[in-house]
Amino acid sequence: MLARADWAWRVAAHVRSGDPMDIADIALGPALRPQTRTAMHHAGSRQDALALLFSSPEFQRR
Amino acid sequence: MMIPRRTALLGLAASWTLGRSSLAFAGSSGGPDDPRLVVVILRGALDGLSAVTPYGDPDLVTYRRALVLPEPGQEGGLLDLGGFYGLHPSLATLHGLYGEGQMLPIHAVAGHYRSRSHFEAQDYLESGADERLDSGWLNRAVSVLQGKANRPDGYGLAMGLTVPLLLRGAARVGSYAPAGSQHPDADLYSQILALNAHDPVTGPAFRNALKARGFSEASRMDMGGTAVPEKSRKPDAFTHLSTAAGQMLATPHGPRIAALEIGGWDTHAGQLGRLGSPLAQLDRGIGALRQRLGESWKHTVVLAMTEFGRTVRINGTGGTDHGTGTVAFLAGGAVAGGKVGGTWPGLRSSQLFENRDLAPTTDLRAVAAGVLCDHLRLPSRAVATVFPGPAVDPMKGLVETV
Repeated sequence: MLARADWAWRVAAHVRSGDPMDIADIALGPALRPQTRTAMHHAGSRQDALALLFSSPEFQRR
Repeated sequence: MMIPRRTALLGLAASWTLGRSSLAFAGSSGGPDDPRLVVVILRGALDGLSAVTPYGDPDLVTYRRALVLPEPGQEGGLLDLGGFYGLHPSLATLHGLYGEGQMLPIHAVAGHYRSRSHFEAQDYLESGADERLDSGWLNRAVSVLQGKANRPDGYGLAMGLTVPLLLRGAARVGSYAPAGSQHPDADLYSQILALNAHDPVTGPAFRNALKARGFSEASRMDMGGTAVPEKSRKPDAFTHLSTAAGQMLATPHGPRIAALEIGGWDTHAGQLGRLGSPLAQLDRGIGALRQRLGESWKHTVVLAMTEFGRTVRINGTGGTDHGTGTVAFLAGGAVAGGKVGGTWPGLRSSQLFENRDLAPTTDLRAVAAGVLCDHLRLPSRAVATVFPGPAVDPMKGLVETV
């Protein structure tokens, strides 16, 4: 799991533009939990927000 | 429409490969006395009032008594900057540089934009404009300077996994990422663990993996605490990158401009305990730069800047929220330091921006332009190319004139 999180963080570094919330909504739709949405909203950078999305249980379980 | 996870990741992986292949390792440049510029992006919005605290302003404690550190001279107190401002005690190296006239904090700065979204504001900060551009202001500056010096290759260098927007654009730049820099920091691990805490499969898997990697009290972290490495076995990623950057900038024909970044500034909760770690990283990193640059330190300016400041009032969770005015740091042997720059706007409620934020009195672009013009000898007619949009008046007196 930790290796997945590390990888998610590295991949997220290469997303250059756009709103991470759009990616979350497209990828997960209603499956996105409010907790993950809040954590992403509070993330201080695009990379951190996407790493949180990719490491969330709802994303990992899809 | 739903996109399966693997398809979503595949799309991102493709952009990763393209991003990688677009990077070129940049060439070299002139002599050992060339001016050097290091720009550090503090991602997540640094609370300027905590980094450089105006303890002499009587209104400060009325908004955030619980966040204000003791005055200089007391235990755990601020490091004095001339009687009105005090530096956060985690910034001891910067305080030493201030004493040597090599550190200049500039207070109440903000970019020209007004956005409280991290992602938007970071885009604007790096674009150097009120909108997101496809290139960053530092890359455009490199383009102009290359032409001036008639150099065939670029001389910019991005330290980290990717080239930040700040340094992307037409001019060729190099990038360097040591193996040790490729992990999230402890704070992000804590947040990931919190998201997975109640999942019967991923929760225990994360907890055990973090324990195995040496993070203590993994079971407590999902209660809102922060993961703390049991012992610091190696320097943090920023120190690592700063050390490497200093070495490369010091070589006679190496790069002359470098960009770095640090996260962890978004202190919505428990700010008092959280801010020390990123500040100490910044402090150690600048110390490492100085050490590795050696003789070249006297030709160096480091600019540390953040996308916006934080609210003057403390919020309900011991933190502060997205604001406007904040502080920027200049450090280096070429800096005309030993004082605090900028104009203090005051903290009375009528003086706050939108009755909540420190009112900005200095355009951050003017600080950057002042360094580019007086330190890197960017022609003043090129300022409008580097910072398109509303006119910028480069700030004077930021660097020592030889």
